[in-house]
Amino acid sequence: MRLLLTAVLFLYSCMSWSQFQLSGTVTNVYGEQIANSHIDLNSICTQSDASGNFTLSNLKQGEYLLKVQSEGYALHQEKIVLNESRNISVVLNDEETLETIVIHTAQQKTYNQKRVTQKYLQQNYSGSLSKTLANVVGLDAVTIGSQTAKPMMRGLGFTRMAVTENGIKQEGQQWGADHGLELDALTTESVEVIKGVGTIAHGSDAIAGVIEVNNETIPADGFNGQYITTANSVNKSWANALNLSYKKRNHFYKFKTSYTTYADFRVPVDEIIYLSTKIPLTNGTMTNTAGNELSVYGQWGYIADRFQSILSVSQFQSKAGFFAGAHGVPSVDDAKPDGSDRNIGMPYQQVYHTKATYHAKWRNIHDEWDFKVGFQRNHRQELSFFHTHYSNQQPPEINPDVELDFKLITLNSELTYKKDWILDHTSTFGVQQQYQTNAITGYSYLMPAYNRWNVGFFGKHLWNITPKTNLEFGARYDQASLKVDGYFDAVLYDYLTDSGSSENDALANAQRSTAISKDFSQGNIALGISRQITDDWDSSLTIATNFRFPTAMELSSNGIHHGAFRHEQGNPDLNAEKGWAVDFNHHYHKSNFKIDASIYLYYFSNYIFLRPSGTFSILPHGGQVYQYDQSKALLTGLEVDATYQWEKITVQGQAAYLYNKQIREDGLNYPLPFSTPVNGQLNVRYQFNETDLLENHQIQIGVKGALQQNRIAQNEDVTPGYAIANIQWSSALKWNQWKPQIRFQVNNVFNKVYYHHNSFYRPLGIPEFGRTFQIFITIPF
Amino acid sequence: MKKSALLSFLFISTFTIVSCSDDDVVLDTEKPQIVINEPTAGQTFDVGEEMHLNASVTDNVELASYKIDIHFGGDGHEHKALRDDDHVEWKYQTTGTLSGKSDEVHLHVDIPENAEEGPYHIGVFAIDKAGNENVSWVTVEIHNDEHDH
Repeated sequence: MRLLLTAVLFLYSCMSWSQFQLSGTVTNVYGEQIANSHIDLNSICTQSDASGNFTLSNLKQGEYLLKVQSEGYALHQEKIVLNESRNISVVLNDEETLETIVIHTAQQKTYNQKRVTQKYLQQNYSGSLSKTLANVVGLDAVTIGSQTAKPMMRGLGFTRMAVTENGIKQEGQQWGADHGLELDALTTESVEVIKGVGTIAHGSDAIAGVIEVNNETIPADGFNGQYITTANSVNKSWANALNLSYKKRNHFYKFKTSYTTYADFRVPVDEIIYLSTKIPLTNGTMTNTAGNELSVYGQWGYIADRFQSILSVSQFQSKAGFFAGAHGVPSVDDAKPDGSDRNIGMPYQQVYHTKATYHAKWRNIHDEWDFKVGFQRNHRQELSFFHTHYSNQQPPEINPDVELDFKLITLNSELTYKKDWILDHTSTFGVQQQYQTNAITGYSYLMPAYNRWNVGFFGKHLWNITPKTNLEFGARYDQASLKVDGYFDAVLYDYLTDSGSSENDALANAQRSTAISKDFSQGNIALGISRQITDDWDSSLTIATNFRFPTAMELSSNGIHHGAFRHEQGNPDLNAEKGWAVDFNHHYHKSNFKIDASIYLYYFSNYIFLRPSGTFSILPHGGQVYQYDQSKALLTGLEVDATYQWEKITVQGQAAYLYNKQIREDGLNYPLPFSTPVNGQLNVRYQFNETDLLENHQIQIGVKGALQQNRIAQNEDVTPGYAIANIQWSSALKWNQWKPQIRFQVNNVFNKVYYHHNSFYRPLGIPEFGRTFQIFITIPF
Repeated sequence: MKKSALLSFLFISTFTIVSCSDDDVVLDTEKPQIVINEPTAGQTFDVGEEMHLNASVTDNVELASYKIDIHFGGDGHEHKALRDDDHVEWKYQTTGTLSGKSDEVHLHVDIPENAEEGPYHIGVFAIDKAGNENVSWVTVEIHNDEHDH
């Protein structure tokens, strides 16, 4: 009632006689004018023009709340008292990012969100985007070898976390742990890490949260470029990247490319023990783990006051060898040096990820249409000299060494409409659809061919209750239809009957996947509140449901999983995995001290997991059969990240604690697999005085570590705790107008042997890198 | 302000209590340990010979079962071209039960006369009552004298 009254009053005030004018200029802290910023004065609004100016006329005397918003900047709020016409200047602060210390901007988002800049990615570059982001508290990476990794958040990864680029969900995460994320770190522009929520905007899979990669930042006018080169001693890698952009009036163009080549990596041990076989490593070299990576990115954008359109086309490809000494049965011979540490011999994997995205926005002062469409083709191959566990299998005539070949094609589209109502209400409605098809070939069989169609409708509403309190709620409904192709392995059938298996056993095992046609539907809700408790302290609380559709593998597979060497059996009766997520996040920031603390809880009503059956598989090489099953599960934890700056010294520390377990009817509440151990890091940085030659000259000493992980799922290994020391020196040289930045870094200074719990090579007893030297040079031009 | 601080505190304590309450049932994530005593790595056998297989298996709680998997370890195609028609890549599989914290697998396996010569992988799998699994491999050579002439 009161709301209505206020609304009426505002409408009335808009219509009444007015005599004043408020004009002004919007700039950033560097004095650059900001065009197209959104200016609200109570219920009246406008936009700044190309030179950052705005004018609001016909205003009545009185007190107003001015809000100025622009992408990439923090919201500016100011009380304006009008007794006469005024001209003001508005300075927008940069949005607060992970490494910001000086500027505090009030958190407006109703969820746990951190922005990671390109600068942060370059300062923490660790070979891949996933591993680079693993430095953010709460994130981890499932690694394989020196360059390939996929991200994890709070111990949830694979299809329990969404990664998007330009708003389109990155596909390919459904592959196993030996498969990485096909996004390049050196050409990534900015990343938003959202924890705890994501389902309303992204649908299935966004359980733990979302990593939103944004490569659609609008470049500065004219020609801008950046050249990056970096090398690392551990795998003798050399990466080169070029980021170019050109903007003239309404049009802009970007071209980005990077190429990385790396040799076999080395570990600080001379032998490993895999399945009770001692495998000597000559000079600690992991034979045949060399590889290369190429990324090419092109973008064309058109930007006007009311309309924006961005087309991006990219290709990411990589080729990486597998360590053959532990690819299946232990092999001492295959771990011996193969003559060159740069060759990529069999077995190896090869991935081509081709992507095109188009994103258009039509903006009015009070509403906005947003349209996205994406095409992705993820082509992954595993090559290995023809080998078989079935003596009756003959090599294929074409491509005899292609063991596995998947072609995953995904089409996405999304249309959203956003409307600002009077009095601080914003609603968003959207429809999203996805079509995905997977085709398979190769002499081995791993996962079925399938196609999936998914459509989701969602709506959310943001209410700025007071300038300090925001409330957001949303709902989503998804409908999906999955068709999995059946596959009967005739070779296996003959093999089994020849080996004396019963007809029934042979039939059951040779049916590698059963044809399934299944429909799923799922509703979800979310609620978020943010509150600025004091000038220095904001908090947000989010409660949301989440879900994911079971994968084709989980529903239908039957046979030895090639990566894990396990006989896995799908379960066609699985329901969509669903649960609740609660995230409570605090941000305290006072002058030179800031701290972020989050506490979270995920509850799954039917978490999908692999249950050891206790019965041996009749397949050669097969241990016991693992069956996909569902149970309740709980996951909770705490994350803290704090920074303190005292004159020239900055101290940054972070820690993450995670606890999880299944909640089963039989009381066997085993921990969930891939649990990130308690981990943290502490870094101390000293900033030197600026000299004629050097600026931003600093040295940093850090310690990074994890406690022992003994809360393991069945058939995982306890991973001992560790602490490693790192040193880095960085500076920008003042050379004419160029300012090349150089960073030199030594990781694991004391050459400590330690293990990463979530490494693909962990069960093989292969430790992480020893002492490594890295150099990173950025030359802007 | 004070209220929010109190609320946060309550919230955090609830989580901590949830986290601390431990499970009643004893969970076992320790794998059985397998030592293959016989044959030894690289040991050679002739076709038609009897192979002694002996493995000691131990577990922290209770053993359940074992599986023996013997198969040809050559990489396939080169051998196939050379192979006489009456020679086959020998394969052998058997399963059995284990009990207690320590048990032994003892088998006599006849190597068939027509076994293809070359390397063979011998795998001993063991699982315990809780479903923890381990495997140990050893590679042996099987000779066929006829080839030497």
